[in-house]
Amino acid sequence: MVEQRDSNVETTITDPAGEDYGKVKGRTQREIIWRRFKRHKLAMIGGLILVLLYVAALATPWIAPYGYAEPDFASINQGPSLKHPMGTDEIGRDELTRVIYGGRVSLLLGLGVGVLSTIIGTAIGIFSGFYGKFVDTTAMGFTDFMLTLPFLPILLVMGSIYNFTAVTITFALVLLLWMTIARLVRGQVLSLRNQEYVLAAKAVGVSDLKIMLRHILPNVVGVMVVQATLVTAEAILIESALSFLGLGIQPPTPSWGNLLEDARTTMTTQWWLTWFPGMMIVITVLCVNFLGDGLRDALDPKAVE
Amino acid sequence: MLAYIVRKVLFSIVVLFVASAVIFVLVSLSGDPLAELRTNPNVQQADIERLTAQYGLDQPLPVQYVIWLGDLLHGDLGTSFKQYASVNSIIAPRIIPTFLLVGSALAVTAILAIPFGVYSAIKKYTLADNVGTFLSFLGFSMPIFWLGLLLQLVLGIYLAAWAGTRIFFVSGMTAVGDTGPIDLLQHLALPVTALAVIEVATLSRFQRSAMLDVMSSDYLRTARAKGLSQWTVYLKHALRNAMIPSVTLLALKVGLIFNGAVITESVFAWPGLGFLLVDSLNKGDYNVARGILIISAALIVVFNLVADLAYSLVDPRVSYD
Repeated sequence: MVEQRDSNVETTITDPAGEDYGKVKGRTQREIIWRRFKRHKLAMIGGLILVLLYVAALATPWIAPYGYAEPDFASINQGPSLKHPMGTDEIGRDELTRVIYGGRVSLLLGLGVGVLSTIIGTAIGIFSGFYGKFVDTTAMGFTDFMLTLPFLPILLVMGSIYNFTAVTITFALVLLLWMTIARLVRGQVLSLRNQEYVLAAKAVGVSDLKIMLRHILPNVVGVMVVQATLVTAEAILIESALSFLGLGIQPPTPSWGNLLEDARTTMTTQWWLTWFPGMMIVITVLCVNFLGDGLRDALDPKAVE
Repeated sequence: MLAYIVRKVLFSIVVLFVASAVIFVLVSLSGDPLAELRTNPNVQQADIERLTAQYGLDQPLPVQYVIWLGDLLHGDLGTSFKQYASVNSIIAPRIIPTFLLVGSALAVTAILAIPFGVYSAIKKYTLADNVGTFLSFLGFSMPIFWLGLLLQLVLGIYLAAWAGTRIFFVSGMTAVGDTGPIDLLQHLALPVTALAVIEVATLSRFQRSAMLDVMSSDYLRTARAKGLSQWTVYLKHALRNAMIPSVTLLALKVGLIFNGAVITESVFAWPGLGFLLVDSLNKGDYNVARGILIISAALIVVFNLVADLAYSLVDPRVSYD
């Protein structure tokens, strides 16, 4: 966030009639953003649920009630019960355990793709917008080119050639999802680079890299954060679709997508195998999107208090 | 203006050429298409040599690309690795089903999303608008394949069991023997719903914010000030400008929806290009996959170009430099 040096200074406010309102304390930028964010109830709830989900994803081996590949032939195809809250599958594996392990893959992959594509997209966007001319034409030409590639079919082909793991799928998604961020950041930088404070920094001889990091980057944080949530949501959806089509994460490693692929054949009889993993995807992506919406409102400098 | 069009068209052509090279190389990474035959003891060495020459696999990769590109420019996508048929003849029957599915989904999307968006902009922050906002968030947080599964389960299977007769079909495009229009609609309904729900969710939000932008402009205040009715102001004055961005978005999305249809087609076993792609990847028929990929890329490039040009024709504020 932009540092605001004077905002904590206490000011005595006096209105024209001479009445004394006493001491008024200024708010820091951080307080203003947090206040705006708190007002977005759905974003608060979404953020909270996501924190819980990520804690579960990191602590999976300790909180999962069973092993993810642990068959129990005494209890196959059971509906939800106290012993198995999300039921069991055709070889008696506990569905809750498999959903938790599957969530681990989806959640960490989503976060990884979100962070990495934001870093790459922002770097390309800032360089392109800051240097302009030839750099800009080349970088944006490349970005536009990447945007026109049919990314879903390409991912399917990659998946069929390489047999994706959680790590390789993350990199494949980053490769195909950084472009929107680059375009948006570049748009912002085009107007930022001619601001007086940037020109002043240039005039006193601050290096280009330092200007980009100290004066430009803090001003594009808003776009970056909001886009990061959008990319995270998209990555989770695409990974689940790839795994569902059998071209993403391969069994026995569970992922929400391949759990649903397994559930397909028994959809009419074992409804729980179709409903629970799908609901987890929707809840997660919905929370990410609400969080992004709240952050968009909170980080918008034009928003009225 | 003319210079702008020429530049856009030239850029698109360059993009297509580069994309074709990327696609060619990517698919070539799948390895030797004849590997299976080489390990088969019943296949003669001479036959393998003949096939290698026939597919041009004895040439270095750049030469293979140039030959493939030359054929492509003559409208020939090559020969399948797994079937005794040309890629053209395998792909051709799949084109109309995909266009039918995507076209219907787009039509439904436009018909629903634009009125929804306008209505929630006019009724901003009312209960109806808030419910709409929540539903559209739900819509674009929904994995399309899961939505498809739920539609199959609820509207396909449960509804059929309840009504005692099939109302919507959960897979395929036509029933065997019966190819009437009613039958087609019964097959089309669920996949179109799955695609449209997700697209309506996005487009109606977009239409809402475009409408809100226009509603705060000066010329609308003038229209109101001269005593026009609220609805005349909204529908005659505001909507015209507020529709430009969403129609453009829709055109831009055509290409992407074609690609998104891959998943929907697979869920509903819809006999289109997307289903064929997944099918040929599972079979290892990479020449067919290559053909579908290049068609997908061409569709995106063409619709991007159309959207660009349409936008510059409709909106006089766009500059052409």
